[in-house]
Amino acid sequence: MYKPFMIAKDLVAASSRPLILSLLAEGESYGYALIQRVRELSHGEMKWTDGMLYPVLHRLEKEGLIESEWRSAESGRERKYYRLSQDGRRAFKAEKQQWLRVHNTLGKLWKLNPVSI
Amino acid sequence: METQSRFDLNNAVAAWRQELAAQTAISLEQARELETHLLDALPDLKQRGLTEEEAFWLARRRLGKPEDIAADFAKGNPGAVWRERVFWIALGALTIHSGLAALNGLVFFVVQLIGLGESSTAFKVVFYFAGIAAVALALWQLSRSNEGAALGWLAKVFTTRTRVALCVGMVVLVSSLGAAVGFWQALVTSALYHQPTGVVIEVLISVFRTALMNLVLPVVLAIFIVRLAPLRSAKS
Repeated sequence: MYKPFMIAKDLVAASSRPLILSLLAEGESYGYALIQRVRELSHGEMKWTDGMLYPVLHRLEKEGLIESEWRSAESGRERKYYRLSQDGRRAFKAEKQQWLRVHNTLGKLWKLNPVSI
Repeated sequence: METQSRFDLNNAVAAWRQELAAQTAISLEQARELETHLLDALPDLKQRGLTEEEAFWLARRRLGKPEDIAADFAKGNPGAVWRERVFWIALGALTIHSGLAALNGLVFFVVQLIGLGESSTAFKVVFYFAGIAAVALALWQLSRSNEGAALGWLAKVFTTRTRVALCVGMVVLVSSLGAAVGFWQALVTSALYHQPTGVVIEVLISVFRTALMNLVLPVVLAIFIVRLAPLRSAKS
């Protein structure tokens, strides 16, 4: 059944990569904090199960786009922190351009102001 | 009704960790990371007025089913899934071979006892395939039950490389043992019956038959295991 109010599952999955790269471009972070940010930014409209995040992080790390490290947090418990690598920064810029191109293409049809890439 | 005091967070988290560990696509480190996520989520949820138990269940639900998380991991790492399968295939082949050696002795004994003589070959064939089916079924059941979870945990004691070496080693060992036994049988038979011309043919047939059996067995097991435990990503 078509649910018009939620963002389609495929689109959520496709956007997970640029989303994570962009969040990490803001600075180093860990899984739970990343999910919280996505929740805030999308007002809950991006239906992620929290567990979906980790396979994506794992894949990005395998591609060498992000680096990780286990470290103790203030609470004393250990967490796995992620940050962008040099390649990750380049990938972030490339992904951003691609998404903006898609955005501008649709935007022309919808008579929106184009975003400069 | 106050059921809150009965809920033990440590036990609940431990049980959940076991469920994660049962998924072969999730490594121990990934399970540990998911656990830190769950524990990170609890204070926020409790601040919103949930009890510890409610917070635990909601955090768990938000993370998704262990099978679904594992399927997502497996999509990015089909190699690991295959290594896992090869491990079970080799283990199954080894179990069947040792089991059948015992079974053959038993069949021979029973056949002698009731004096069936010639039909013993048919019996052996039936038992051979019954053995394959039984072990494949047992492996399938194990992989779905709680005992399977325990075995999955045990399997993770090996690092991936050691496990692969172990699998390959077992397959090679089983095949060479089978061939050696066939060779030895043929030599003994021809020596006993003084048929020097038949020796070469006897040996060749024997080795060929053993090699074929050793080849057929893992293939049959592979078909069983791949069909019964497919990459779960197909579901989504």
